[in-house]
Amino acid sequence: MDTFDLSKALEIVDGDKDLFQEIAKMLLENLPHDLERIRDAITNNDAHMLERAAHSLKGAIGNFSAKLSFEAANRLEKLGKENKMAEAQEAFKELENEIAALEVELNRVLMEI
Amino acid sequence: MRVMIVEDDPISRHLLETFLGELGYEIISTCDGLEAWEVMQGSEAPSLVISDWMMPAMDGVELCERIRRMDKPDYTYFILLTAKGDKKDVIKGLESGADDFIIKPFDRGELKFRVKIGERIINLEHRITQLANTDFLTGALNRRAFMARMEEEISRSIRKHKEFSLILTDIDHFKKVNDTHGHQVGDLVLQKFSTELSENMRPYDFVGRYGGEEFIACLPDTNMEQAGLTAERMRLNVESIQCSFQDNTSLPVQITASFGVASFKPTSDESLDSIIKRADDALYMAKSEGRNRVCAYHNVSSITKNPPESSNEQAG
Repeated sequence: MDTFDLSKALEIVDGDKDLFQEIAKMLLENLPHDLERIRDAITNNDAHMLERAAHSLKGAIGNFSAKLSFEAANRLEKLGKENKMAEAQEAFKELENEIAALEVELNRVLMEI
Repeated sequence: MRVMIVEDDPISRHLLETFLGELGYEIISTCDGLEAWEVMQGSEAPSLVISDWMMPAMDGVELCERIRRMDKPDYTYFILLTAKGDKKDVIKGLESGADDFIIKPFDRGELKFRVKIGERIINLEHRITQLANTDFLTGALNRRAFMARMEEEISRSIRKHKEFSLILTDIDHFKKVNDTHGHQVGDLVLQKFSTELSENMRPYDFVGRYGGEEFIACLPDTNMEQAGLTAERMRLNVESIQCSFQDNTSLPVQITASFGVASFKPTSDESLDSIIKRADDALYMAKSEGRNRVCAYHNVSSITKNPPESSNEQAG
């Protein structure tokens, strides 16, 4: 439920399953690129870039009731904002794990609905 | 209503496009504040903007501040979209001039009704503007609104290198109509006169009530000769206006009008007052030459030759 809550996610699109499928596919397509941007920001030690990249990923995930991924992205955004780059690597690993779990869930749900 | 979406996240943008599209709005979709700012300066500027807060290039708060500093005749209703719930952020957003907030992820129903609030305010604003610009009796522009449009027209004329013409017209012996038939009939005559003028104009021409029974029309992209022909057509049609009364006891009132025409050359740096003064001079000439005629300013001589007023004397 904390990885992904389908019933809440459907609430956001007002029960429109087709629309949900559209945006879920968009998310799955964009996730690798979004993660890439965050990884680059951390590699380059660019706190501002990290804040931006994590914020936009958070915004995208925000439409899906994916609590754990959302929180992980939010944590990275904060680290960027507060320029705590030392902790970013660890937080990024967490994010990657949550996103991987979310991808599995989303792919499963897309097959079912 | 035209609505602009400003959102860098493709998923949120897609949701907004879908939800707002279903509500029947005309949608302009942009990816950041800078792109939206360019749209705001164009001729397709929307009445309502829904903008994300944090975006690359230009954020939502700066976009809102810029829009508020614009010298724009119509109000732009601005809704800020944000994942932030912090009170400090809300205040910062409101300070920038935003009208409302929607917290992401937005709920379809909430979005709908918040946009409806904006639409209601935009519609009220349109109505108030319309009332403030219109002459209540005749529906023509009032003098102030006409003059404001004229200033725009002068700039446009210079920019596009196109001349325009003015027709100033006055109902002949209107006082007599009021004295003989009363003010209600006088009002009816004014309405019919105004309608007749409009019916002889193109969609992009505009007419204002300049004084009591004096009206002024602006004809963009029109030289003196063409304007003279339009004025002459108006003059003829005014002659055939029939104002009859419900009780049918009195004879229908017939009127005539005099017309003065002047043109503005984009190469001149003439003021609005001066152009109108020339139209007024031409109108004065039409009156003094016997009324019910059109005079153009260039030589202030009559374009049309009509029977002298004495043989044409009617109730008006």
